[in-house]
Amino acid sequence: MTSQQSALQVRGLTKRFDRLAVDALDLTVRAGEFYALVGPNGAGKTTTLRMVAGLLRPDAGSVAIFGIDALSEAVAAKQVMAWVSDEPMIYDKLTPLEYLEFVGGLWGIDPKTSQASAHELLVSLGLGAHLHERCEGFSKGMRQKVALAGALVHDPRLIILDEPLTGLDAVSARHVKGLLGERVRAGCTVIMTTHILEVAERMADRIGVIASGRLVAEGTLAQLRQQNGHTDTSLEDLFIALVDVEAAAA
Amino acid sequence: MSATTAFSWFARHELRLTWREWLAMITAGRRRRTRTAIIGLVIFGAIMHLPAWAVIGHYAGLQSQLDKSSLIVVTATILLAWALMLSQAIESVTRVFYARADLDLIMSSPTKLAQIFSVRIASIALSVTAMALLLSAPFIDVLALGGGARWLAAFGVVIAVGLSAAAIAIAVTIALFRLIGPARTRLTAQILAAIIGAGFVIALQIAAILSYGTLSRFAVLTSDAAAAFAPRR
Repeated sequence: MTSQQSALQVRGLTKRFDRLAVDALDLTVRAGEFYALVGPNGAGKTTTLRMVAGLLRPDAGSVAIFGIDALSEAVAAKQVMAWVSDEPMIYDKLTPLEYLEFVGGLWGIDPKTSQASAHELLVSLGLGAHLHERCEGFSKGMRQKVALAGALVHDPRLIILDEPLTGLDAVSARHVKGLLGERVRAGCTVIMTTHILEVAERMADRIGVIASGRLVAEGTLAQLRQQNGHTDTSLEDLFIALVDVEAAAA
Repeated sequence: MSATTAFSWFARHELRLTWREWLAMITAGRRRRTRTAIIGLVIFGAIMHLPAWAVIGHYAGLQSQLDKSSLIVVTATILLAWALMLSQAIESVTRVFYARADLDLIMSSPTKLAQIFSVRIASIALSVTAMALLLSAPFIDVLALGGGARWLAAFGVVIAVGLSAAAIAIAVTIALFRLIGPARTRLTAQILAAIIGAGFVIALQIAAILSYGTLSRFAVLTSDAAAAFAPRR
């Protein structure tokens, strides 16, 4: 597979803080794929995605977004992707519509153009009744949905989400999952970290298991089962087995 | 969006946020109180002219030929105002860059960071200067009413003091950012702001107590020792 066919191609990505957080990681995500990155706390998932999103400078390695070198051509790479953190920031003093207009502006979209898609996105996420309310009174779930709508307003080809479902109630989670599923069906690529293995199992085309900054397993659920010699086990059992092996090796 | 459009668009965004945050601060977050709060502020500003008259009114007739001690007192007063503005500016820089917590969003976008940060820095300088102008306006008005329009030049001094304080605050924050990293900068900058804000007054007070056995800060400023340090006229 060439980098042109990949939404994301990471090679030898390394980042050290007090300890090695990401260890010469290689990762390839195909265009149009829903990819879930799972791993225990401190495995390096968020650090990896922050480096991909251009928020952290790697110590070594390369990142290509649709063939664009994200380290040397950061602006071009950021133009086609969106990042939503696990604790997304929205401005308390803006309404959701104003926030989306601002985010659209960051991607160079004229406010008049972004207004229509902002309205549609917010309504599809169940925020139709709150379009003109300031975000300061919003619950965590509502804020998460506003942030997600903000990430989609410029119609990115690659969406990177760090734990997007944490803290959401069932209805909100359903809205978010529905919207992400729609985007993938429309050809968008989604990369998501999650602790909710059931979500990864149900939604992802492929799952990557990361531990100690390295990718220890990757594939569809069936492939992961096959690799580990279990034909009918759950992702949770597989995950625990993989992570235990890695911890023992470390 | 062209560079100019993007610049003015972000400036509008910053001003809107600053205005709403300021309104929320003076109305304790209750938007229905906005009108009442603004009327209250205008009345407060008008009433502030009375104590301003009492404090500074008798200086309105001062001419430029001042004695050395008076010049030292005036200079120290401007320095004190500058230190307070620097303290407020450092607090503003950390609040705008950290408390809004929007750096992830901005840095993950393809927008030019230099452009965004220039607008943000200009917005901090403007808000610090505007606050200083608001607070000093009653005093300058009183001087202008009593001593003539020449005192209106003091508004220019306040603007210069405000802008230079903002510039130094940003330089201090950037230096801290590079020296000790982003995680420790916020707390250190806030401590520094408090020290700078109170430090000048406390230093004068300590010098007055230790050297002259008095609580009056003016004792130091009007002393022969201070005059000896001052440049010749």
